[in-house]
Amino acid sequence: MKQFDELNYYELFEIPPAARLAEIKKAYEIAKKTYSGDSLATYSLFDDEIRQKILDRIEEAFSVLSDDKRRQQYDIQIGVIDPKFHSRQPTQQTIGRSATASEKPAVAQTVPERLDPSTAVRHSNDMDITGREINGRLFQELRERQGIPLQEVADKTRINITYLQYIEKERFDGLPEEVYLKSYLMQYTKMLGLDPVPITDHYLMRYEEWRKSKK
Amino acid sequence: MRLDTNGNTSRSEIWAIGGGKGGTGKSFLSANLGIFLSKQGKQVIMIDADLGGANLHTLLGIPYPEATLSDLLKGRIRRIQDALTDTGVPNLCLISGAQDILEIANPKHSQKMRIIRQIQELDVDYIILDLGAGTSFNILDFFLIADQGLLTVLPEPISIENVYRFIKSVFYRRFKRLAKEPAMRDIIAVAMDQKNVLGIKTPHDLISQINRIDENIGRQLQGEIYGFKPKIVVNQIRSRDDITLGFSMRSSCSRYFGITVEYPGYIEFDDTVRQAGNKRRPLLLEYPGCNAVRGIEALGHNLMEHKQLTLDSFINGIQTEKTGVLKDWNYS
Repeated sequence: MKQFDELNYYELFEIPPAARLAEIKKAYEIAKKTYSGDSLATYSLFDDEIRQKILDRIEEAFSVLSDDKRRQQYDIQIGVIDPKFHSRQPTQQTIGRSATASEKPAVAQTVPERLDPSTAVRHSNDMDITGREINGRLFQELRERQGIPLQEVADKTRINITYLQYIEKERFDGLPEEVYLKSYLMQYTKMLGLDPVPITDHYLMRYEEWRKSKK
Repeated sequence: MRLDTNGNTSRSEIWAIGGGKGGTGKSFLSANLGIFLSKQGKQVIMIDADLGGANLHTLLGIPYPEATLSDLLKGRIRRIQDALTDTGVPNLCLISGAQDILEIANPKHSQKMRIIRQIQELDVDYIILDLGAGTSFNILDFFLIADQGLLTVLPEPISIENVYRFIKSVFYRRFKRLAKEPAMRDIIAVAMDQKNVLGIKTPHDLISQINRIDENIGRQLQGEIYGFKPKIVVNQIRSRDDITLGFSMRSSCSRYFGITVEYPGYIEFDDTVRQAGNKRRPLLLEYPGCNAVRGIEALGHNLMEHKQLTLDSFINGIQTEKTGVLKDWNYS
């Protein structure tokens, strides 16, 4: 079990490295409450000195994670983001695929490091999916259009790569319980820069259909 | 046939429900989790291990059984199976504890071990152990044979302090049973006194102290810490803050004690609990679909799948029908 000073900021807040600013803010508020002097959970555990140390660390974590630049540097420092990522060009293979998929190869260069609501909106405009059927194939297509390898999705969201493959291939029998699947889909769609709720809901409807047909 | 946390073979998955303080819903949760599992088609035996204050039968709406653990302790019956009582719920049997017999509340070590062995030999899918209040060795020893040890906590100071005390006591008990050398046992005994001269406050401190003396034993104890994960269930939640309490307790006691604590679920405060209790009917049968039952079912599924709640899905309000309660209480 890691002690406080050994936890990275994401572990401290119990959020994934792909978390959006809004999530970071909420997690920060909860952490602050947890270690405040009148917290039910901790008043009997920590003395004032240790409590202050923990609260200082929480403030430090928030000051870094809420500042996009500092967060980026921090991510590189702790190895959440590969430094090469910043100068990454789409691979040959990706260019080949995206050429057939769209006339907007620029998307690949503007992959957001992480998705705060503003970038999410921008990207959903970039990648119009009006009238498209929401299925596993669409996930794969949108991901490839942005030149994001599946492994990178796995690294950033910490979702097992096999599950990501199953999501894209609609191997429903290999996917986890619906509650976890929903969380995975939300994270994955956010990472693609899309509005997570409607897409996740649509995908889950397909999953439901499959589940009913199985019975 | 599986290995339990003590390395012994065990036929059934054992869930123990403790929590230190009385009135936090241990028997209530035991009865309803037992019914939940039986409704999932599992063979379940509930054992009222509250020696001296058994009342699980009342929660199930059946009379005090003729044969109980007390008869086993007194030698009136020889096998624990002889104390099995039908509950009227398919797949679910009860082994009742002793009532109002004070000496039975403190059985001899050999008697207790005999009961524990017999429990481990029962061959069903799940065994639910309803423990009494407090942190006596008997209660801790029953808690330690469980594959999943649950602690019920109410969102109030005394209950929370009791849960922390329980967590600490159960680990020291476990360490003490593992450490055979007298020197180690002495240190652990010293550590159990909160105001000890060695300045040991937590299992984490204890391991550091033991590491200085014998690294091998330190490592062994560290391994023990990883192997056992008590689970917090917050009962009678009335607000979003009460749900957050479980996350706060998980995070702070993991950090403070150096122990992994899990948070598989919570149960909403619900007046139907009192109504069902007064009718001497189990909630899950009397008011299926009420808010408290939804919480119990979500908890039951998480336990069966060895899963727990995550803070980021709470923040994002991501839950489905199964864990329905959260939907109305999401963090926004």
